[in-house]
Amino acid sequence: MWDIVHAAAAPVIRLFQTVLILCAAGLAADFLFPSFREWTRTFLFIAVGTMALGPAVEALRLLDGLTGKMTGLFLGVYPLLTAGMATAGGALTLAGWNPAVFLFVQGAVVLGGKWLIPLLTASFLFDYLSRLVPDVPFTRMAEMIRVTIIGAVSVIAACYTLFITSTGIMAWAGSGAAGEPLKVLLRQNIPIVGSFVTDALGVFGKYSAGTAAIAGGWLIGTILVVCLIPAAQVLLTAFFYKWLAALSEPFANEELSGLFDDLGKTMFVLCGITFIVAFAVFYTVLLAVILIKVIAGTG
Amino acid sequence: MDIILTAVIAAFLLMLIQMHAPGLLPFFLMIFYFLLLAQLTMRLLIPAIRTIAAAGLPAGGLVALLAGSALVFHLSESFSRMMEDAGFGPVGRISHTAAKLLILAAWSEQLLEASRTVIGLLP
Repeated sequence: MWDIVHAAAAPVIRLFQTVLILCAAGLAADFLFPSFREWTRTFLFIAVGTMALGPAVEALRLLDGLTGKMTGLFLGVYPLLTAGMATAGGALTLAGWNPAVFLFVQGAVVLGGKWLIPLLTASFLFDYLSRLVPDVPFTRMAEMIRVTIIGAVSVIAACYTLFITSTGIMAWAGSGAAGEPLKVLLRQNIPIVGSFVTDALGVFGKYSAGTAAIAGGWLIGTILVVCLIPAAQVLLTAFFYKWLAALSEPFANEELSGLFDDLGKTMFVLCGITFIVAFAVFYTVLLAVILIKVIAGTG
Repeated sequence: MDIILTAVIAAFLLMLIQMHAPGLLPFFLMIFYFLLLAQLTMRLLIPAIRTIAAAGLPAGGLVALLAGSALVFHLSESFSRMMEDAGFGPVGRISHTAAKLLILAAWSEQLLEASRTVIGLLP
């Protein structure tokens, strides 16, 4: 677990040190050579802004690769899984899955890979360019893209919930009342995607509660953790950007801290998209596990 | 400290020259100016930048680059102003342009990297 935290934190911490030192150097340069001020601003922005884009681009690449692989996996595995389920006799009714969920999960991942991630890339670019050339601002455009993507992801999440609850057997068997204050806390404190994260956790909870009887609680827990690792990593990176913005605000240029703030917002939206992918992974792995169990005769 | 002392002595000498040979004043002014500037640069600014670059900071190279380009800009600007005062404005302007181009060339790697990152985001 700490490896993941470290993997997410190390580039951003290094970035923060760099930003700190460069901003101090910029202040010193402004003091010594006031006529160089305009150049200092531009060069600092180019050097630091490019560095700041690094971890964000890395996360974007990670997710892009993940969705690409998932699409390939679906195309290869789903016919096999469905056929297996059908021949295993009654596995479909046992699990109570709607076959339309197959189509939906795949469609959501394709949508995420083909539309949402490129749109998010555009939002990164708009943020960077509008800070680099303040006379030509694209900030509203970037904001609109983010809001649109959040809307699309929420609709997909709502559809998941609908599918899963309509199939009947997915009763919320866990201790729902005990988790409620935690949910409220998350919803209020994680900006933008807070309510979304809790909803996603609820969906996972409902889903795993129904299948835990078949696949075993520990197995479900392990699969859940493995699937949510990319989401956690992106969420941590987003929080570090927010920290960077907050910590660098007193002494850095307004453009730089604003850029970090915008990058953090975009990373939170990216975290929403990772949920789609995480759900697809979770669903596929669970399906395979249940199929094997059914074939082996222990289901 | 000794730079200030040198500057005071130079000022006295210049006053002496102004009194006895006013025609030679611009010539000597330029000589003393360059002597002082060279001393300031060689003994204070460049060692300071070297120290920063060798300190092993996370962004040492960039800090040194920033400080170096600010220094070059400052030197070139003061030189061009000096030329302007001496009546050779065009020469100073040309050297100032050359210094700006030099700074841009020094930052070209960073500029290229920035454009590569931004273009790399595009599919």
